[in-house]
Amino acid sequence: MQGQPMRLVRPYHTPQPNTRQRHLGRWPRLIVVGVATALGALSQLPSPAWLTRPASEVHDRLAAFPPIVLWAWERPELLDFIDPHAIGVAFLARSLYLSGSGVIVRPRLQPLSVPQETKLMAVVRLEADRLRPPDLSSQQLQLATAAIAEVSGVHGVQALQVDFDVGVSQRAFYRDVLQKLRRQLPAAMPLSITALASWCIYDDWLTGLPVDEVVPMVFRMGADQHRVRRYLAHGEFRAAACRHSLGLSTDEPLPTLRAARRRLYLFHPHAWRPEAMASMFEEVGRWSALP
Amino acid sequence: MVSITLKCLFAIGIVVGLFCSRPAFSCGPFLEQAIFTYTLHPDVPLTSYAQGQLGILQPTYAQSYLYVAYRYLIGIGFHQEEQEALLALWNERLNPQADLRNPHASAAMKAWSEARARIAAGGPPPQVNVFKTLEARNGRFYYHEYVNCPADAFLTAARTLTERIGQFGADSVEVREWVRAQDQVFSNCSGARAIPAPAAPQSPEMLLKDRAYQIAAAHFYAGELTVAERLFRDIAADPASLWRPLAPYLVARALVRQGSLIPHYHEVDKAKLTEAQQILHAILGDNNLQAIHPASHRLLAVVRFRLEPNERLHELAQSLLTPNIGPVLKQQLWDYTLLLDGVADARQGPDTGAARRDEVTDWILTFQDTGPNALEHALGRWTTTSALPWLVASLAKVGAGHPRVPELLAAAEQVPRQAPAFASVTFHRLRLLSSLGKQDVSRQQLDGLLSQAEPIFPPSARNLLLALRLKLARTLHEFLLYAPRVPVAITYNIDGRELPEDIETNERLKLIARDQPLFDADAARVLNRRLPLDTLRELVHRSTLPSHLRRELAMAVLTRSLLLREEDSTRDLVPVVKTLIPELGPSLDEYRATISRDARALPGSL
Repeated sequence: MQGQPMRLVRPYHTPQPNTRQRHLGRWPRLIVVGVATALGALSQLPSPAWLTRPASEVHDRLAAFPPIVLWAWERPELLDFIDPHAIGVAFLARSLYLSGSGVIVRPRLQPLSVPQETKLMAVVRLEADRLRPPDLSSQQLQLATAAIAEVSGVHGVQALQVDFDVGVSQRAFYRDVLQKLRRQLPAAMPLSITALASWCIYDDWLTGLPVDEVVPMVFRMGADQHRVRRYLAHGEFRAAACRHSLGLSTDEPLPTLRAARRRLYLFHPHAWRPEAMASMFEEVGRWSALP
Repeated sequence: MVSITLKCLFAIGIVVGLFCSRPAFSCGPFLEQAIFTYTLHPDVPLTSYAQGQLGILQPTYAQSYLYVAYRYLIGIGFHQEEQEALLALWNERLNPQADLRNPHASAAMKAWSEARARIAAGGPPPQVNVFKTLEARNGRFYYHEYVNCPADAFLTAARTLTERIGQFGADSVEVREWVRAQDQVFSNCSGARAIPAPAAPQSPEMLLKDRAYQIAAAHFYAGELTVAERLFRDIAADPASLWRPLAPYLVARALVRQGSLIPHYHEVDKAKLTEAQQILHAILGDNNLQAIHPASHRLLAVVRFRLEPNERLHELAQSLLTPNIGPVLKQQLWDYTLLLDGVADARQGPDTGAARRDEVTDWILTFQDTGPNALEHALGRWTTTSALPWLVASLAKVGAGHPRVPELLAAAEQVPRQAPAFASVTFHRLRLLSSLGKQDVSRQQLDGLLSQAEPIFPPSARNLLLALRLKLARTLHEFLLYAPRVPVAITYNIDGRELPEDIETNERLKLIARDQPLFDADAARVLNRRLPLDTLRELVHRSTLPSHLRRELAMAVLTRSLLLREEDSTRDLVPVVKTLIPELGPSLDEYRATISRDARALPGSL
């Protein structure tokens, strides 16, 4: 079964939340003011001004995308309570495991429910198989690209995001995937990628990637955490591509970046609920108001 | 003055860098991490844990590990078959791609592909994707995928095709038509609707019945479930059909899908599921249908999961404490932890009282809970039951100032060395004794434990004991003795699963000798921030540390000495550094040859 985007699983299988560790973090600053405190009954109230202002410095293809995007990872995510005009949703659509010379595809097996007008970004996560390390061959490149591009065809998906914590030796492969992917996607389809915060600080290999957005994840940074936070306390990401968005998590401190207009991607380690979202927005509101 | 201060800071920075708890060469965007104690799961390989070597239990372990701990703590072990089931479950969870390589599923697909390939006239076998999308737009957008065509479908198809080839021949029109219809059936797995046409009336009766079954199956995979249900019922009522014995089960499956594949999460059609449940009970009560009993049992479990999740959680909690339940343990534990996840997610909100009526569930939720009420709950349960699991939970949560510590310590001392709880109980007992000012007792017992190769203390647990012992060090010698620890894993931990990298296939990681001790954060902190230069210099001269750590220490201390312009220290260190790091010899000789004090400081710093 290796070597083809093929899938065989037990019936009625659902992946276990127990092993889902990773993902997304906390805070950017969009603008202004402590309006967020009014967000208590978020599901019912109109969105505050800072939520509805478009991020200014992102690529045109993403201009219509809201400045706040909730990451909906693989767990039941029932986001019917969001204001679809103010908040976008980036949902994990499938995971790819680069394994030997093949690609194993695991689709989203958990429900996602959002208001119909929601701007949707499909996220594809790539991982290298621990048991059979990838050969990064041209065949694998082909398969991976095709499997990523496929989700752009899901009805209602308006943007694509690739999440691959790529190792140094895999960067050339990843670059090729993104270039090939860009050529395969519809011209108007935005392409976003996540980035480890360290990529945006230590060595800028992101320049020139054919993407519309790079989202530095300022959470789940492991051993790098203190270094990254210390670095950000004194300045901006070195890589220019990383300055237009930010990935934050509800369970980690916000970085001490200066105020700037960024698109914020918010991660919550559990299924989103109105209270969690309101609490996060409140915190973001305070943070955005910092000088 | 400013210059000196900056240089001091620089020196400290270098020393901190050199003493960090990860391997010394690590740098760059992907950092190798040394993990000394696992927090998310027990030590890998997990075989020992499955056998009952629990080590020091962590509240951060996933629920399946805590369930295993609970069962050992109450004295119910796991037979070999059950241990294998546990390992299979953990393997799938720690390697989510592993279940996509499920041997059963792969074998099924392979069997079908091979059988299908025998029919050359049928053309190349079409590729099959077993997942289908459930998508709805009814004011909301609802989306997910599900396994539409399970492994059994391919096994059945392969077996039937092989039989038909035997009966009619691989080149026969009958088999070619059969294959064409079956390709259509499987094209519904993920693609657009494709229903085979009825067989020609003059076809052999067997093929007429096969076609009726294929048509029903095609409707089923196309998502036309009420039609499929009706057609399967027709087959169940047809005494001439070879598929009759299987049909009741397929009726139940059609009902289960009608009852659960609904684009509203948590919503089920109870009437459909209840009807399915009744049919499955009838099948299980019919000895003539024993061939489909195993599948019916599995489907019934799905129905219970969907129809009455709270009751199912209760059933599973009870079943999972039954000794020797065999391989079903894997699926039951899988379902139990899935249901428990729902309870755990709701822990901060709705009442979890219903789930906690089962002791095992209560214990897992309490042990994982780091909130202030968890300790009192554990103590309360221990008072009521005197049960070992609650003693372990209480000890793990209690601080030295709590009034019930003396009772807990007394009970902990009674736990025998052979007990699975011994490592946890002993660690926390010694932790409390240390905090209560009984350092001598704690120190003595820790030395006793560490001097033995105790299998009851797996590597993660041993490192915790070493960390505890380090806190009680009275001399530099003791500090050096307990500071180095062998990491349980060297990992990039990219996926956050705390799994070791395969050192053999990673050139960078090959630089780290397997089983070499390193400094953990506690020792690094002391070396970086607490010890003055003279003391550090003394440590370099001692041969207590393993040679690779002594080399790193020597290099760091020399750097500090140079930057601080401590001439005497530097002079003292140079010979030993040259011995430990011969490749630095020429540079150090050059340094010695330099005349002026400032000129000496500069090359040394650079």
